[in-house]
Amino acid sequence: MSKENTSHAESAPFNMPTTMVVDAFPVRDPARREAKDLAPRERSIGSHLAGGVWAALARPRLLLFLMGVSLVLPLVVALPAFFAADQHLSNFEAIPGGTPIDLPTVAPAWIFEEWFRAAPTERNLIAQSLAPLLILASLFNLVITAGWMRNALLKRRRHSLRTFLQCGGHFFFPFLRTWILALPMFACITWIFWGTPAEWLFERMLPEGDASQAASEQTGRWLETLRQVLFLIALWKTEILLDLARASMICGNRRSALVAIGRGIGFFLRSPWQVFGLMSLGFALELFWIAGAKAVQELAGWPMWTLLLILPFGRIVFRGARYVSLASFYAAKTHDSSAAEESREAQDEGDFPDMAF
Amino acid sequence: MRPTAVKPFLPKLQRKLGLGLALTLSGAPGLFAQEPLPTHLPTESPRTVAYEMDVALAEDGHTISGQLKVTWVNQTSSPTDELYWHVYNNAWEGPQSAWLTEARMKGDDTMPREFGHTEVEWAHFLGITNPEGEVIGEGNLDLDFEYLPQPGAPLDRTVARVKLPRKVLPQHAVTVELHFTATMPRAFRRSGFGGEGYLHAVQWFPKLGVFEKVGGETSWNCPPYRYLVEFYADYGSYKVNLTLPARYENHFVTSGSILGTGAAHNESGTITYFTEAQDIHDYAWTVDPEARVIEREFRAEMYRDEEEEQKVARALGRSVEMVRPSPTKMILMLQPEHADLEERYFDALGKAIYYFGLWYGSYPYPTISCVDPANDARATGGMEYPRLITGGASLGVAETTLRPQGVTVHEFGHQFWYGLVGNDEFRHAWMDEGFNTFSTKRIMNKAFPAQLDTYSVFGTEYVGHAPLPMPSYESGDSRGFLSLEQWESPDLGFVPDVSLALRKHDSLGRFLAELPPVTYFPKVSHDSVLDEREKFRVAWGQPLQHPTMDLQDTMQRRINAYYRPALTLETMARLMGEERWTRVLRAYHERFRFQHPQPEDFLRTVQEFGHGASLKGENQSVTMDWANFWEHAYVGNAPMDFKVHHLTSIPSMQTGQTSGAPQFDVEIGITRSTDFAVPVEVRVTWEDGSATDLVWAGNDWVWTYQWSKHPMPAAKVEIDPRRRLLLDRDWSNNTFTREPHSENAWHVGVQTMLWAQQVLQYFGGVG
Repeated sequence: MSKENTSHAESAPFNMPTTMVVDAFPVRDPARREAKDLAPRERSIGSHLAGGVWAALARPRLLLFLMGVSLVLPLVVALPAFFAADQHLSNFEAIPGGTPIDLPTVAPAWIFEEWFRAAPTERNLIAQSLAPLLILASLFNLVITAGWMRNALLKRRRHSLRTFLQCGGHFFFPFLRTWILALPMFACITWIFWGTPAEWLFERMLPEGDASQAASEQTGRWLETLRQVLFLIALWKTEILLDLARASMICGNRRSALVAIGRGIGFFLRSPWQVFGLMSLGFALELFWIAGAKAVQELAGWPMWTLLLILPFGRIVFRGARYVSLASFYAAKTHDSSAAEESREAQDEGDFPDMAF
Repeated sequence: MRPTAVKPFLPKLQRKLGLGLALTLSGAPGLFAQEPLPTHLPTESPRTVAYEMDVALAEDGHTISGQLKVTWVNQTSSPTDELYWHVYNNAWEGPQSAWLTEARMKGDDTMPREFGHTEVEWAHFLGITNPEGEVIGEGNLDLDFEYLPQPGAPLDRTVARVKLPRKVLPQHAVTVELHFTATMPRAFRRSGFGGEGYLHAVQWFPKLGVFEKVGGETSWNCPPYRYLVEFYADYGSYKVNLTLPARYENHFVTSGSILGTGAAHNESGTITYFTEAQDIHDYAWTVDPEARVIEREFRAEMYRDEEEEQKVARALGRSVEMVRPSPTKMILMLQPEHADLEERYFDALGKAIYYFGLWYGSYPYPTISCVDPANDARATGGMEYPRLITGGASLGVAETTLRPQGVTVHEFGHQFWYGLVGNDEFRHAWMDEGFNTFSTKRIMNKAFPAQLDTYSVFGTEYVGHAPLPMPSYESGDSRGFLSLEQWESPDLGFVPDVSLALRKHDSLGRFLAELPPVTYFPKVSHDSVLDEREKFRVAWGQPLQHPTMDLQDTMQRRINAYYRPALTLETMARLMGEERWTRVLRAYHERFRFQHPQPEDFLRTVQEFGHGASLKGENQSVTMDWANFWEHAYVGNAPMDFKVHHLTSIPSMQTGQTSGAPQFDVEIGITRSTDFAVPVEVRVTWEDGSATDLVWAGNDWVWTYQWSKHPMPAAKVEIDPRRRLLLDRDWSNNTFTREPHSENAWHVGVQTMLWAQQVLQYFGGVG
């Protein structure tokens, strides 16, 4: 481990006099400033998240790029839907005495029904075209995650779309391994909550394990709700563990997915509430943005298409903020940014091709 | 191809007046003379049967035992020395029953959680009475209650026969007595009990079949209880004394009227309700110690629809006072968890009593009871028995779903179509379900706000309509991995396949992925009548005349019993005009109240009271041929579909003319794509918004109509602009517009994009 990568906590007693002297003068020493950038500090999760939001907002080109992606991908579904609707709905007018046709506010169900029947599989086929996009979005998110987390550890002058994507590419395959390991984890959770264990438990609480057979509808409803909420929490925790594993890979420049997941679990067990709070706060902000955007759009009377810009902007920023803040939090807690820095040096020395964006 | 008619352009004045005049010219089909309707409402049934029962419900809450005495009058002209009985409850005694056997064959392998059965311990012949009331023949003889094996289900015990010691001659009455014990099943397909003391006792006693002419020969119409049928029996009177455990006091509703002031208390600690009912053909009752029983009076003033009253009075040639429904008592047995649904139930019940009474004649009984089933006995919901119906709804159900109003109106409607007009549900279920669906949908449109599409989160429903369905694949489909739903192992042959569910479509998960408040269409509004057209999605494999019990599956039953006849009746109503149609249905109901009509009876009524109905256009007037319509709609199985073939507006070639207003040669072409021939209206809308209404008799495959030198081009041609032909299975080909409205497509495109964008954002964070 090089001197530069030694953490403040370990080096402070030895460096303190020098530090004090240097700090007393306005010296622009790049190495020292970088060390300060990297210095882990005890910050609240709110502070980490705020830093993450700022870090995300400070990258307009990156945001523009991600906005572009979020507009292009859905077109795969939206364009066929538009053309199909143009073919099947454009001749319809309201039935005399019936509901007017005004899709943004009210629409009679029968016009959709006529469309289904005129082209019985068309809507399903269009919907199914979304399926490969789901997996694509999930995989693309690996690149995005790596980019954001990496940004958390870089000083600002190094932030660029190029380094963002370079890092995403660099960590794509290690992250993919975590993604693949996530599949059995999700399957296991799904099995626990909806498979044999849940069935066994429900059979002990409800006739035939069926909530609809409960003597009290309220009881059945609560049990089902509880199951769904717990299932969702379990999924969320799994996501957090995976993100922690990725943060550990980025911060430590590690490539073993299994080890990273182990470190992620260990980290989570050491600071469960802080990690859970940080990620959930970030998620809550994203939800507030969504609700607020919709409310503003309605109050201002803006057309529906404006949401196509407003919503992804907020979601991208807050999601980026989550990843940035998680990585910075991880680094601060573990003081583990040395290997990452080595990796950064390698990048600076031109390991990655210079790309113009 | 038929020679085309050539029509000069419209007079200028008419073009200026536009659509309004065109509508007037077309007018409502036919003119109507308001002579009083010659039929009248009968006040009592033939009273073919008279049941007297003295029964007790055991402490277990689902075993009923006691004595049944029945007197049956032979109303036919043929003698018989047999009595046939339905023992419906034996359908639940085991997998060998005809019902459960047939269910399995049709892919439904559900079984009751606890079986039920009925045993008849003994049966006695008490005597025969002649029309003068004199008893003839020996009495008190033992009878053999013999169960009849059924084809495909030799161990079925839902039909039994007793041989009488002598023949029952026409207009003679025979009385027999028997003792039975019925163990009701745990709630399963209409009947049974729940865990907290709820019991819905239906088809709980041995009940006589119907001795009538079927297929030209008089015999007992008493088929086994089969998968796709409901019930059919003769009208009569019931006197039922029910002894119940004391916990059921004031928690009891019945098809009868409770005599006296309530339950009598017995020394044994039990209670007894003495009840009776006249002119009904079945007897059901429900107890539930947890439920509240609430009573309200129905009075027509509370639900007045003056416009409708006047329309009906005018159509029938009677006074408004004569057609206004009379009072009755509404009784609701409500689950405590559904306290907030009380108003919805009563509102629906009141409106149903009002409109059905207004259209078809007053509800004649002193009470109507509606049961909100216990949660673990939902299988008993949504059913009808004389004077007693079951509804059903869930906690948190949104107002806009019109639950439980829809089911309550429908089940009450069966008091008229099934209860008062008692068709053979084994063969012609459409005659009650179809008429009732038709009537229900009209009431839902008339008396309730439009139902809106909803999505559910934790069982609570919110308004909204998804732009597209979420991608989803069947279990076992390897493409499921694309949507991160499941992972299927490759087929290696020598190792077992592995399938892992990666996620679950729970409501909260879907909510977070799709963000309905943001991405869904805000209000997608249903029209109860037009919604019936949804069933065009499924193949209509068998014609309406096909016997219900022999239909191929439950979907075909739903189509043939409910949707298809409802669409057929609505089409007839719209072709006939409202007032004429009101007379037809009222006459049919009055003639056959307390009777067992056949399909031909309805056709005869239509021909008698619906004759003269016609469609009028500027080119011709075409009178409806109801026999021909019936041939297509009831006997045949062809769908109906008309289609715009072409619309051309070509500038006229005018020799020597160099200036002046342009003129056009306009031609429309309409095709009939199927065998179902019926007159149809066609509207041509011109560039200035004025319209010309035409009528095509529909008896050819193709029809063209031309205008030469018309002063403007046609903007649109529309088949059936007033949407009379609900049976036309494809409306998307009914209109051709020169300049389509692409704003609909834009909205769909933007909404879909927003939805897909949010879904992708969500999945962009998964894994």
